[in-house]
Amino acid sequence: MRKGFKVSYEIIMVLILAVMIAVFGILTNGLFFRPATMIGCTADVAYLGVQAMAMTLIILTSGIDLSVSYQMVCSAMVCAWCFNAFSVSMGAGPAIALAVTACILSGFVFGGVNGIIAKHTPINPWLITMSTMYIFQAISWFFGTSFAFSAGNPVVDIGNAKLGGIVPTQLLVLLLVFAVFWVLEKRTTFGRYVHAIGYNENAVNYSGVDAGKMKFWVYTLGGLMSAVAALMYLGRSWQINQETGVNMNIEVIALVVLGGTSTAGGVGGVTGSLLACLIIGVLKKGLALMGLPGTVYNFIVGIVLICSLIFFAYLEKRKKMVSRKMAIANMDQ
Amino acid sequence: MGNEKIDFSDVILKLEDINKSFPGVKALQHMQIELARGEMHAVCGENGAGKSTMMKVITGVHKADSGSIYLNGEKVDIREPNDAYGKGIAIIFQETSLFKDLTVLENMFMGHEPVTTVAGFIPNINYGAMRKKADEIFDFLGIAGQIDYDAKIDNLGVASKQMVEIAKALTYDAKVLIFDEPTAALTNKEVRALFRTIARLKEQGMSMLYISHRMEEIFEIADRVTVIRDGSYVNTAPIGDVTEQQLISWMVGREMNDMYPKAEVTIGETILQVSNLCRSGEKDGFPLDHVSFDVRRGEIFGIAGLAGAGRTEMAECLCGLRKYDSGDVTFEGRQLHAKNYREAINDGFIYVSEDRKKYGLVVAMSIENNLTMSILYRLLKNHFIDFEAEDKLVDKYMQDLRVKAPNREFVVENLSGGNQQKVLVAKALCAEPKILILDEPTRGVDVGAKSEIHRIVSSLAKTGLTIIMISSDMPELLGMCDRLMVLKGGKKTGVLDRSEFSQEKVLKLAL
Amino acid sequence: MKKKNPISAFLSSREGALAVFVVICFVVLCLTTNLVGSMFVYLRDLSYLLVGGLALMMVILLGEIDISSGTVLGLIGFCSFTLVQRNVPLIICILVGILVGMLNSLVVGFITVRFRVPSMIVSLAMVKLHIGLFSLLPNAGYVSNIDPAITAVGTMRIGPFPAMLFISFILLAFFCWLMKYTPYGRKVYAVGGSAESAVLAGINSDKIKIKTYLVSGALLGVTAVMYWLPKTQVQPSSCMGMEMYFLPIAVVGGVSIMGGSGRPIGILVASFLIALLQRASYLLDLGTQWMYLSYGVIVLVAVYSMFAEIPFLKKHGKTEKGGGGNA
Repeated sequence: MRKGFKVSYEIIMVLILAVMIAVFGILTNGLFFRPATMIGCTADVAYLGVQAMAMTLIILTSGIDLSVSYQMVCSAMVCAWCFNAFSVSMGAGPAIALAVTACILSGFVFGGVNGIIAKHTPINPWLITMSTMYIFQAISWFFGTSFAFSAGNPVVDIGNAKLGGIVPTQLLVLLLVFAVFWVLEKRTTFGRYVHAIGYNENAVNYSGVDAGKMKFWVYTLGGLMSAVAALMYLGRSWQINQETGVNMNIEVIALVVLGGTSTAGGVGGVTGSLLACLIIGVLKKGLALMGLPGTVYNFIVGIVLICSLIFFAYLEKRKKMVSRKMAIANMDQ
Repeated sequence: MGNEKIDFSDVILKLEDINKSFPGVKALQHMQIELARGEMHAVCGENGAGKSTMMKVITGVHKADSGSIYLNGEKVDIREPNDAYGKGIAIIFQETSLFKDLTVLENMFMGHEPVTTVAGFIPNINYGAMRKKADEIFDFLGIAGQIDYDAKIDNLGVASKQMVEIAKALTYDAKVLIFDEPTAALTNKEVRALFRTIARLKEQGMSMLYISHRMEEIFEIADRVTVIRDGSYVNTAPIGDVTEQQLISWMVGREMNDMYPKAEVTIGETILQVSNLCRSGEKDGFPLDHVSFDVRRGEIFGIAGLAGAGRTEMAECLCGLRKYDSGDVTFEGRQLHAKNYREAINDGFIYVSEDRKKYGLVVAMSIENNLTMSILYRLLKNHFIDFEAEDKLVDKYMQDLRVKAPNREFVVENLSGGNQQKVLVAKALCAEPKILILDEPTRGVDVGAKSEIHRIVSSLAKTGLTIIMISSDMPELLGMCDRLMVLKGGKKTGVLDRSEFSQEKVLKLAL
Repeated sequence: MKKKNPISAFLSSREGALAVFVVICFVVLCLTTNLVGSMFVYLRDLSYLLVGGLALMMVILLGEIDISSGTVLGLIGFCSFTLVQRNVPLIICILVGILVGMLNSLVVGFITVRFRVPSMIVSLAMVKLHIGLFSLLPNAGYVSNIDPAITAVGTMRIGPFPAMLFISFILLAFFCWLMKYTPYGRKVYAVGGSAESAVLAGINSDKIKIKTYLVSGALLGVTAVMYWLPKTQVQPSSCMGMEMYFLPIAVVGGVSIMGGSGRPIGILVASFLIALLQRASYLLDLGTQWMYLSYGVIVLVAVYSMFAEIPFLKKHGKTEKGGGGNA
């Protein structure tokens, strides 16, 4: 759908973003309005946003991926392990290249596992990804308890860098990923079919399209984005451990749902997820600047999530009433 | 069975002037019916005549907009299923309403289990009483010991599930039983078993309504038959006073000529040859048994038959949507065996499904998105969707087929049935097929849109497109087709040429 | 028609097959490790896992889910034990805990039913709410300095068994009865099995759902009490992720994620298994990786078995299919 309800929701989100920035700016006595802060606040959550892009597509097909958290942790561990193992023998440069490649490849593999099971079995994606979540968690434990990068790691330097001193590379990567996914969703056959599958998978199959193949790719993309998120995360902190993975899947899903994508499938899009990510970033930073403990933000997000869900449900009800009236108006006699 | 001295004036159930509308459809208009005590009363009419809706009103699934229901002479108010059950009215559904993971016994008594109260307030379901009552009911039905009470519904066959449904209806101490097309999915042997059960019920004085359009069944078991058409009452007669001919004419009751604008088309050579197509139908769908036929270029080839005869399966097999075990398909001289629907589309086949909401359209999406779904890959510019080309294509088809909607982005869900069907046909035509297979093209479509769709089909035939049309609507088939094949139980029972068309011949071959 | 012998009926079911597997594992572990020595702790773990599994079973039978069942334990612990610290009689504290559990589940249930929002998302939001709440509470929800006498109640024995275990078993027996012998129990299966058929059977789905959420909440309250009582302090954050124990217990115990089927006895067998896994990884000094790996594999196997057909169970499975009739 190119017009109608979706656009107005996204406009609402932009408005909310603007209002929030204004409010926080006032509450922090202008601290928040500093360009570095305002734009930089998204750096914290960018790695979640990247995963949310892929998760949006998955949820659009009325599926879900609970294993993203440990896909990300495992990919990060693969990366760190590779670098640590080869940095001395190969030198920092080549070792990093190897590590990054390995990380991306691992993303394909992890996502591919989910994708293959989703394509070839009728098992509920809920259950598939719950099982693979455990398995990936297990794999991460096989690697070890935590990994720290050795010193002088160019990834960390890039990860923490800021373009022109203001715009963090994290944000740039997020926007780049968003651009790619936006094009995928809105301008390719793949994107059109992803929406359709969420609404009515049977009809898609009866249009000569292989819905199973599409599903395979959305999960594989999920794995790929978890790998990218892993790189982004490693780019900000020196280490990775299992704790990072706890509840990450809930955070990513929350971004998608807040962005207006319905878990029933079909409705929604990546634009909303991006905006949700920005809003969450602002919220987190704003609350931190106000001196409130980090988990107050959790509480607020929880309330916001519930309220937005009730709001969506109410909107759906209204849409149904409107369409009933339209259907009557369009009777052929 | 037949008319053993039923007193038709002893009315147990009566519907008077019942009206019911849904958005876009007037389902029942001034509907009436009378059921006498101990009578087996058949109700027949074409698809969409309103039989199911009428039963849903009687059993409380729908509430009538106006009109009255009388039970034993007293006016009753039936607002929900429990009301109907409480008054002794029960229905054996066409699609079973059983819980597949629960056992036979649990299903039979769900919602009204016999309960003994312990210590004044603790309820305890009495399974012993349930088994005893089940024994009584199964005896009553004459099927004692044939179904395991502890078997899960999911593990039973269709016929057994139906028996459980009947038994379940009897747990409500039903005085009126309604059967909604019960034999649609049964084998001959199972139908005999069902009729034995019905005979038993009749002996015990049960009053029954029996919805069906199968003439031989109606003439075998009914006392009287009521015909309804397009949501309205037509006539009622004792079964001995009426012939199949008369019933059919009451069911159809239209002047056939003006409905079916058949154009003169030159029919060419044979382009499609199907020989000995077989599938076992064990795992899914209905079987096909050595079906052979051929279709000529430019003709409208009809496929008739009852539900379960295998017509849809036949079409799906041709289009790679369903697997078949053996047989040859030759199209334009080439041997084909499409592994999936995409290949069939590339070969030039297109299938328009009978269930447009489930398989045909994504009703939550726009007309545009639906129309181009099969051929989106042909509308690409540099690997991205060419929106301009898409818009142009959609506009063209919307205009050609006269789809009534404000714009391309209009959501299909809000269209009337007729317009939805047009969108579906347009979607098929987009693919520029050589053979267009239409499965029940005017199901759930109002009269006005129906003739429009027929006009479209006719003009398509004029352009040289070959059309295969599956339909349960007899006049539609006889009016539109050049030749007609009849399937029965997966076998081809005959092919009729237009010159020999007659309703009686077709029905004879189908039943 | 006579009932089948209950023992053979059980053994030929999925729960029965699982039970055999668990018994084998149990015996093997008893012989190869010091399971017998830590039996008491094992049985105590079993107690709360069993009740938590039952709590989740109720919700899943409806076709819904409750992801907040982990974090809510921390919340209940905080509420309950803050009162314990103030020397409120233990029985009142326990009742408060149960009430808090019911309240939490009621919120989830209400939003799910009234606003038709998928329960998965609602409970997800509740998790965030809980985590946030923890930070807002005094001491981040930590409750320490609990009277040792109270902790002793938690470790009370009856013979060689923990007292808690008896409560769990009583609850289990109660639910076995409730689900099979009360109209309410039957309606839960109906609502979860098929919404349309439930309507046709005259059942008020919304009412049943709300009732069930309340029941589940009460059970979670008991679970929380059992979990925290033997511990010397309450750390709400350590409960994060506990639902990932209860969920597999339900799934492995044969409760279909689509709703409408599953029995309490399956929960019993599954919690034996999961508790065994926990204990085994500790006893065998296996790293956490083996524990998680086995969880993943077990869940996958349980899930796959629902869709595939296990050959030796087939004999008692499909009796007839397709066009076969009885006459």
